[in-house]
Amino acid sequence: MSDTGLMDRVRGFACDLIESSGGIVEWEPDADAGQGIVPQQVAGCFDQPDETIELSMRADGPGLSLNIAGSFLENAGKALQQFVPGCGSFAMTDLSVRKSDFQPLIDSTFGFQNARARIVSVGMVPVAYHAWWFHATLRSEDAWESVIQTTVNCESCLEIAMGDVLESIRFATTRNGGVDVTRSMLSATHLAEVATMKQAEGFFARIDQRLQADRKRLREYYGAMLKESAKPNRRTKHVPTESELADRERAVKLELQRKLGELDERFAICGYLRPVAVAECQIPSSVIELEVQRKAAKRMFRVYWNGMLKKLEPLACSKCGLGSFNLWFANETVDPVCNKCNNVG
Amino acid sequence: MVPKKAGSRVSGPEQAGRMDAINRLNPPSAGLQNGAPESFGNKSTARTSMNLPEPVVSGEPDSATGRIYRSPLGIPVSFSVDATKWSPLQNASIRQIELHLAHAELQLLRGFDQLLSLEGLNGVEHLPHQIETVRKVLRRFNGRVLLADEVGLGKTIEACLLLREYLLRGLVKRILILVPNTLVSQWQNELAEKFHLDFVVPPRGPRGEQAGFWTENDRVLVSTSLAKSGKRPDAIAAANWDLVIVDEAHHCKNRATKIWKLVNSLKRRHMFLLTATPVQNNLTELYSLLTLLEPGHLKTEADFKRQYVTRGNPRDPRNREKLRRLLGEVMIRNTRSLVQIKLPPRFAQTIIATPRDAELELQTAFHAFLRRIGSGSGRADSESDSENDPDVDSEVDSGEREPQSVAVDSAAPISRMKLRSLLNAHGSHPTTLAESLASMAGDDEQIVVLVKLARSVERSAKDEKLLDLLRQSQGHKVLVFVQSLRTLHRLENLLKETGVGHSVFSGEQSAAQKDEAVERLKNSVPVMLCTESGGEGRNLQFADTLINYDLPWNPMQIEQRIGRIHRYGQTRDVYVFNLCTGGSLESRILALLNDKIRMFELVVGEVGSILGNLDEGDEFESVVLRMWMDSADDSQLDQRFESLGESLLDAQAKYLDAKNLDEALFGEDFE
Repeated sequence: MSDTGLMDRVRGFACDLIESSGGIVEWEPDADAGQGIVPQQVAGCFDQPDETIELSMRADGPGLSLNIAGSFLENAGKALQQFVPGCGSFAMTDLSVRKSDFQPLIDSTFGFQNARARIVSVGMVPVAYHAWWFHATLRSEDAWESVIQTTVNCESCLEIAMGDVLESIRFATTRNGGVDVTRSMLSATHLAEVATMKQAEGFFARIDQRLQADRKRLREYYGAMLKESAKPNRRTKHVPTESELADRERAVKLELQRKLGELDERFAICGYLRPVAVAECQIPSSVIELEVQRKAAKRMFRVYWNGMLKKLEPLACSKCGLGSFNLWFANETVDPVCNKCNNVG
Repeated sequence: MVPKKAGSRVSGPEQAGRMDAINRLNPPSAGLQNGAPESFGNKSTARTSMNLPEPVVSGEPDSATGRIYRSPLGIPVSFSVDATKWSPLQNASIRQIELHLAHAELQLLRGFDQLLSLEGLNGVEHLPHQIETVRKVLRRFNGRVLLADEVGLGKTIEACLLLREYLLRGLVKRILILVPNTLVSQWQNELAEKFHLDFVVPPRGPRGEQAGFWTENDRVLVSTSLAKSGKRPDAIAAANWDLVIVDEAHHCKNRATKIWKLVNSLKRRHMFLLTATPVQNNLTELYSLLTLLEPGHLKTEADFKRQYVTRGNPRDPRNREKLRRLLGEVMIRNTRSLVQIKLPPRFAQTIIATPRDAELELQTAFHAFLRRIGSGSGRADSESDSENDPDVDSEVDSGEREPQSVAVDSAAPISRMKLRSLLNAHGSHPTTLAESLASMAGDDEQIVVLVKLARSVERSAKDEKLLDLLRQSQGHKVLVFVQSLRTLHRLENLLKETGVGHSVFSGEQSAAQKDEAVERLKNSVPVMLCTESGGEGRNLQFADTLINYDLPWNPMQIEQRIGRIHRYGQTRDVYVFNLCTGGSLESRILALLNDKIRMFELVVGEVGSILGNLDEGDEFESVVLRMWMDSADDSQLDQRFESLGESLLDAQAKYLDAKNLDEALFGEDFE
């Protein structure tokens, strides 16, 4: 990314923010500075006394300095929270839904290893999917940050890979009436944690390496101290006795343990997930009521045919909670278990 | 399975089941499997999947989810969800959602986790420890740091990455870089070619002493000797700088010196001090350096001596652990041991090719000609073409921007630049010399004769030696380095004539052609002919033999050539062959570097440290040229080389002394 590229991004963001929070911006494309008129409360977020504010890309420029190094982003965060909605609902009404011939599709998509499945009924309903974006941070001796995105089917609570959700909803109808984020938050945060753990592999390697190096340094330092303590005193020429040596050794080892413990505390990693935005997508779907029979036991399951992806969604494994198309079923409860969990036993 | 109701929580056993899966992904004992010495913390406190509390979504701010994950070494990772502080406004449009995301992305950029400086670099192979250092400086050191990596670990790259990062983020604008005279062009070239950063080098004349120069130019690269001379210190100190970089900062070890006072007087926000040997003679030097960086960090000099220096032995530190902790707050030192860079051995051999017949005749005539026209040329126009002028015989210049034909008569002195170009061409190949001479021939009969003579040499003595070497190097992948395109084309023909399979890599090629040349060397041919840019930024570690067909006068350039294959990732022994014609200037340079400081046995990077200690005022190649011009004959030239050799030995001794002391002081694992 070039210097100008970053500047353009910051400037574009600032202009959008001002306009989205009810203000207007005047800024010539090639000029270093511009002017904005914003509501009083928005100006307050940026510690600006007047509704008219000077906008500048320079760190030491007049008025509001649009620079990622200063307080601009913090203040922009406050303004966003207060004046710009972050939860939207969108309906994809023009999608067609498959209505029949699901049995062959179920048979070819799912692998019910030790049970039989029969379609009882099929219904067409809009299903809510929540696309979540989290700002994930890991802090230890160092920090790691990323924006994590996950999409959850609010009915099945399973993560569904929906691709670029923003692109998909770009032409959808915007719905009023709000979004009940609690429907999916628990699953979404869990999925975001797992994704963070995966994405931050490099960070963990770095921290692990540093911890190892620090441990090595401490061990060598205290090891050297132990050796020195065994030598006769340079001034008094006193040679330590066996019990003195044992006492010193104990003391050094205890000190080393204490230091290693401190090190462990210092390197403990705390993760923070801050929700950034949620987009609810109402997608026309077919809901298939499925009867699964394992020996004499029967149980009803609900399977979703996603109108946007044009395919069936998986069922949740009763052990790991993750979606799977290849399932084993327990004898009496008919609990579904994915292949991986089944192999582990 | 009945779908969950809106807002329902994941049930306990189901949650526990998920944890099982996660624990399998990140097993607590994975560190042991990976050979780590131990797992993290007290194992008995690790929670099992079954007794995990249910995650809490709302309630206390920053509520913990209750799930504990682990790093590969077993460091516990707990999560909190900042949910209650989050009460989003509803009914957002897609544009408004995008605005929230844009804000989050910008916050990431500021967090320094995504380094902007890594994009678009040219030929910079950044190693993990360098990236780690950049992040540390950005996050923990607030842009004020003593970079004290061991030689060869890439302090300059670290500093340049940091510089670029600050520039790209708009955090700095006005930058001053102070480097020893011997390293000015090296820095300027690397900044421009690898990091796309143009820096102005101040002129030696009165304009460089005016305050206006230092306030008008935002990016200035200046030699320390120039900066501290004349009225410049006042002019430099009067300007405001966002970032100051001082290379070979151990020269600022003494608070009574001009350079220390200059650096101390600079108005700056950020400062990087670079040195592999922060302590040269005694610990007070370290105090002086760190006082430049963070005054008061080590309190007063008396306090420092009382607390950290053993009475009677100024090289022996007291309270080591405390001192180390304090140093750790302002200094980063990567060592080979710490970053686990171990290179295989390197073997070097010099091969002297003795000219015969026409080539010998050419050498004699050319030297006589040069002595006649070159004598006194440096004094005639040394002001106009300083040592910072571009080398006209660089690979592209020689083909496209050869200096205009200046018809000289045998009595007129030629420019230093032209003189150097001719000497370089002679050191490279008779064909190259012929072309260089032809461009300035005009009506001069002497030059016409020389051109004719040079063109009559069909196969030079070095050509024969090269073919011998290639025959002996069967089974090895060989890089043959040359300085100019003319020599490159000549060797291309030679290898074609003799049926030696080869590829060609030069600065005039497109990126795709260069990639193809490297691929061919890797897969089908044994030899790659390359100019100075040879393989920069590409992995050439599959090659293990390097032939310097001709030799740059700048030892740093020779080192860079070697560094193309003797680098991180090389697993086999490396062989370096230096070809030179007997009696040439190059043979003297080679003897100097090889016999005196044993350059080819040094770790990559050490040459720079030694040259940085050299008391000569100019860059090495300028020193060589000056010696040639100041010598009336070969015996005088030999004497001057002998004297330069002694200076180099002194510089090396100084460096080694400091290196040993610093190793003893900081150990191998300073962080």
